Amino acid sequence: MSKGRKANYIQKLTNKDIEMLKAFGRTGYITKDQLKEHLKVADRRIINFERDKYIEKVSYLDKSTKDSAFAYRLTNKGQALCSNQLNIESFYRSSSPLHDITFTNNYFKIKDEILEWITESQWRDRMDNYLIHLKTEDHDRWIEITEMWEKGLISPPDGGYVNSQGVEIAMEVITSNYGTVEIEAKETFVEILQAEYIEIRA
Amino acid sequence: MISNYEKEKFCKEYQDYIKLIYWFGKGIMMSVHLQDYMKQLKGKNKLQVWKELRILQTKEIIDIHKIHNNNYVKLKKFALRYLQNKSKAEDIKSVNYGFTAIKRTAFVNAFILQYPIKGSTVDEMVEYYYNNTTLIAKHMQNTAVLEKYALNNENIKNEILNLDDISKEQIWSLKTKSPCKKMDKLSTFNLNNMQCRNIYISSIKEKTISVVFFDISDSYTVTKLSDIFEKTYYYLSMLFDDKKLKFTVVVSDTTTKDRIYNQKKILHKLLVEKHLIGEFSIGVKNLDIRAKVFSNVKLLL
Repeated sequence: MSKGRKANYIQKLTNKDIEMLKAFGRTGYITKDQLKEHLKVADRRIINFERDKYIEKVSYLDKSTKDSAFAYRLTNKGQALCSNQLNIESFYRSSSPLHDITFTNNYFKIKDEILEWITESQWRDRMDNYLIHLKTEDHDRWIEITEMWEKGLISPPDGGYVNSQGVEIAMEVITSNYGTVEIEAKETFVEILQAEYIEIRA
Repeated sequence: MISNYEKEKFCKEYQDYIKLIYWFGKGIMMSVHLQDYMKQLKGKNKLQVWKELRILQTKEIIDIHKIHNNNYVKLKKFALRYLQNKSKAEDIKSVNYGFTAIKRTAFVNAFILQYPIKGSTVDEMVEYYYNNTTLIAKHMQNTAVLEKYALNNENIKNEILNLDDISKEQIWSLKTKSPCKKMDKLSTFNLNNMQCRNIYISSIKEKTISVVFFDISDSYTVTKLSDIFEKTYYYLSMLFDDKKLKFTVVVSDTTTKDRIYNQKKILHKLLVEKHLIGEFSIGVKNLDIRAKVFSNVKLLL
């Protein structure tokens, strides 16, 4: 007798799965080629994740070939799985496909150096903590920075990480839509927190 | 290399295709919709239309690209030059597009094609839809709908002057400072803003005006809806004070339709707060564009 469709295809999370889910939470969109090349995930496993509705397939317009291309992203159910099983709380918020795919490419280049990942909202939290600390120590500087922060002259980068030497490094993807004011805002943010800065052109 | 003389010959022979794509799609159109139009106008079947499109492609008049088991057709620069009677290639801009533009044409043409089309030739169709709706109006040029009613209505007369002023200013600001005098604005929300948000007037009848809201990014929430309802209601009721309004929200699949239906009570509450309950009728329509045109794939805009 045939068994028919299984209720759940994903019974247990393997090490490879955990690596994959972490990458999804940090970068937003990943293409199939990137999953197979850098994370060694099998075809069947990707299909099973899609069947259980943890990830979904979306398409974007590739400007160079003028045809549509595919990428995967987490669904709401997948985000719940990440926060329940892996204790990931803040997720990457996507912008445009071109921006996100270049960000993912760069993520896989520096993946082995990562000790701890910092998302955009965590950068914002760090700035808030720094301001609380600064308020008692240097009041004039505190007024200066809070004014810039409210006007939008400072803005947090897309992501970043702490490497094995304990140095904080910020990553930012810049597309053709960015003006000089926006680029400077990112640079001053990193300067204030005394972190290193990587700028990637899409 | 194909000579300009030969291209012009083929443009003349297949005028209908070029005009349809130029007016109804603003430069791009899904091939499914072209086939539907040609079936109703000339009685051609799908294969005939496809073969003729391939001829146009080899003559470098259009581009055809694949997208999820479907194709979209884009006008090349020569076709635009032919329609606008320009002699130089530098005088016109090529069609610039992304997924947003592709989805917009899919919505507009699916909406027009759900009823039998008005007119028996392409020119008649363009004349009808241009003068009675804002669905095919070009960017910043949608005063044609109002002109019929301008004779005995001061508000509409002023609004047409105001809209003309804005479009003139757009052209002048590219060169020097505009010579146009600024009119007193009737409201900050006008037909141009509606066009940018994908809100169109689909018909004006004796007693009712129908307005369609295209949910192109699948992201309409109830608060956003109540906000645009309020703006379009105040704008249109200022222009036409004796007509009733009929709003239709057009969505692309059942899940978005269900989401709006589930939040019916909250929408009612929001409209009561704004004192708008009973002023207009609201309907939600599912045209199934995701399944029919894009074979059930989600598009990133």
